[in-house]
Amino acid sequence: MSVPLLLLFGLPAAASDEGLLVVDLIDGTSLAEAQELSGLPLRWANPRSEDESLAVAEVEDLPEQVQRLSAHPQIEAVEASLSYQALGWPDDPLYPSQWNMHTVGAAQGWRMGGGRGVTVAVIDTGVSSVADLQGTLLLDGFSFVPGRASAADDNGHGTHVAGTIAQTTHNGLGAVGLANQARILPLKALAAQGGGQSEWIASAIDEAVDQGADVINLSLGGPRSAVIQVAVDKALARGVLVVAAAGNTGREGVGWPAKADGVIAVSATGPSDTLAPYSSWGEGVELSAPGGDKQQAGGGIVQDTIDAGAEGHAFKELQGTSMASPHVAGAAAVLLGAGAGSAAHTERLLKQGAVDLGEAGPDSRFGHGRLDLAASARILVQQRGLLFLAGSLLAALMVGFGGGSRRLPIAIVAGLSAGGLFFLPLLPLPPSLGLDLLGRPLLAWPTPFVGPRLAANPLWLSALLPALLTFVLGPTRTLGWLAAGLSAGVGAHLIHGAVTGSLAPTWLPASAATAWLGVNGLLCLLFTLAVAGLDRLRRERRS
Amino acid sequence: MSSTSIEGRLIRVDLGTGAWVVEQADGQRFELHGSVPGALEGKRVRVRGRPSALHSAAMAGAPFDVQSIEPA
Repeated sequence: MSVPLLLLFGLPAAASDEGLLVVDLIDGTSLAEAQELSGLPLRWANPRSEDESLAVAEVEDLPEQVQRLSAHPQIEAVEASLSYQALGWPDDPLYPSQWNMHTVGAAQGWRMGGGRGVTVAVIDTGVSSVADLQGTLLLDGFSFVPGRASAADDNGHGTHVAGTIAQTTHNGLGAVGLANQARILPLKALAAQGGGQSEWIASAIDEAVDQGADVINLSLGGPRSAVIQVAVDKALARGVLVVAAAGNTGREGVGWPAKADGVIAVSATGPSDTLAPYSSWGEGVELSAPGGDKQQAGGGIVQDTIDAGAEGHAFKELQGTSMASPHVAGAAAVLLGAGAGSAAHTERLLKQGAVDLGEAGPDSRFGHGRLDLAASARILVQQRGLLFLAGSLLAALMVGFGGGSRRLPIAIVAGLSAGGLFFLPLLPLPPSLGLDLLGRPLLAWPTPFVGPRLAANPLWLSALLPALLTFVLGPTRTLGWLAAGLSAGVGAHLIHGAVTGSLAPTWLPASAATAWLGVNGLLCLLFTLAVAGLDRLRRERRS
Repeated sequence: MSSTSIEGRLIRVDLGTGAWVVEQADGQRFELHGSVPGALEGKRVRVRGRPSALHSAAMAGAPFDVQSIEPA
């Protein structure tokens, strides 16, 4: 393979005699047989590998073991485990065994910004800056537990939950997180034993909203609480996405606050995409996500968390709907950071992309299906493809009506402004801010820098920038086409936002928001028409 | 609220970072909050205490504040 191809498709990990041996046995071979014939402490490569009899073991003499086992009649193939990820991204050693991250398509999210600019409040037992959260943006946080001043974790639950959302990724250590660039706001509302009063939780939700959280994760449950519902209502009214665990009773009946109005209740699945045996289910389940099933070897959710041992932290396998909820919160953060726009649109993308499990259509066990961030992100990319087309067509139409020239460059600029190089996030390239920005519509550019709320301010989601460009550049012969194209592209995006609700200008009520976007979108198109008209007049004067 | 008692098998459930529950014969589970002697794990126990309104990370059953636990 040539060097460029190797760079694209991945470099094998550095060779060393010590490492992971992969053994592909004849299908149907049991683990006990495999261990006996190999003389190694083999385990299935992941919980789904039993069908294919693909096993792994840590060994100290890889070349010898490969040579020794390669001729065995029961073994189809044997080799040292190689990391084949795009440009070795990510290099976290536990990533290959994090079945949950593969199942939900985490890699697609990293290429779309990994939630950069988004704040996720983790209302839990606190969050500690363990080794594999050192590169994660942890805000100061606050404790609502009486007698406990710090928002640091004294249980291990909250830190693990935060890891699923935003574990430091591609740092050569431990595990990965879904929204690796998101900011975590630790709000401690559960005491060391894992319990918390409703008023602590309600106060934490209020604090999350005040501190500008875009997503709130509630991996907790208890009795119905009026004060929590009031706090949730305020959060929803501010456009915050609230995600909660459905409960761990293994019975019908979704817990609370998951069942509160407007909260996305999440049930848990295992590695086989079935409902985890402990997961609560029933009316109110909106989505399901990997929560782990430790009855299957390697079937838990692995993240870094605090530990009483000498190192102070450990990568622990936990299970529960507590572990499922942060997958949805993390995915929501990724989509919001990618410029999905409104909370409502983000929730729609999560549901539309979900893999339908169980009964056809939404059901009480899996809701709209099992979270699939990659599929949700692809829907966003498709929408951007259509926006590119719509922007180009509208620009071409306006230039045609106005009798202007340079129809093709204007249409291309319009397409780029409306949809960006929308296909870029689908290429198997390592994540980078540059590629991420190029793949976005113009209106989604500020999100990674100022967060989704400020990026949705009504002045940015308006005809202001196109107006300025039109007045400054529109009358010029050399750059008028740029203003015309950009205006049409932004106009197409604003009109799309008004029609679908995908854009929600901050501070405006829903009805005013639609009118604002629609009127400003039409104004943008008029700017393109005006520039085209000016161009026609100029050419007529010349001739 | 005056205290009451529940009876059932004491189990350490592997949910989140773990929790103590009392499982009754009909499968109904109470999640215990307070001091629980690990030596009684797997045994039938009588727990004095009262139902609570606590929210929890384990979400393993109806919350119950423990005053005392003894073998049933």
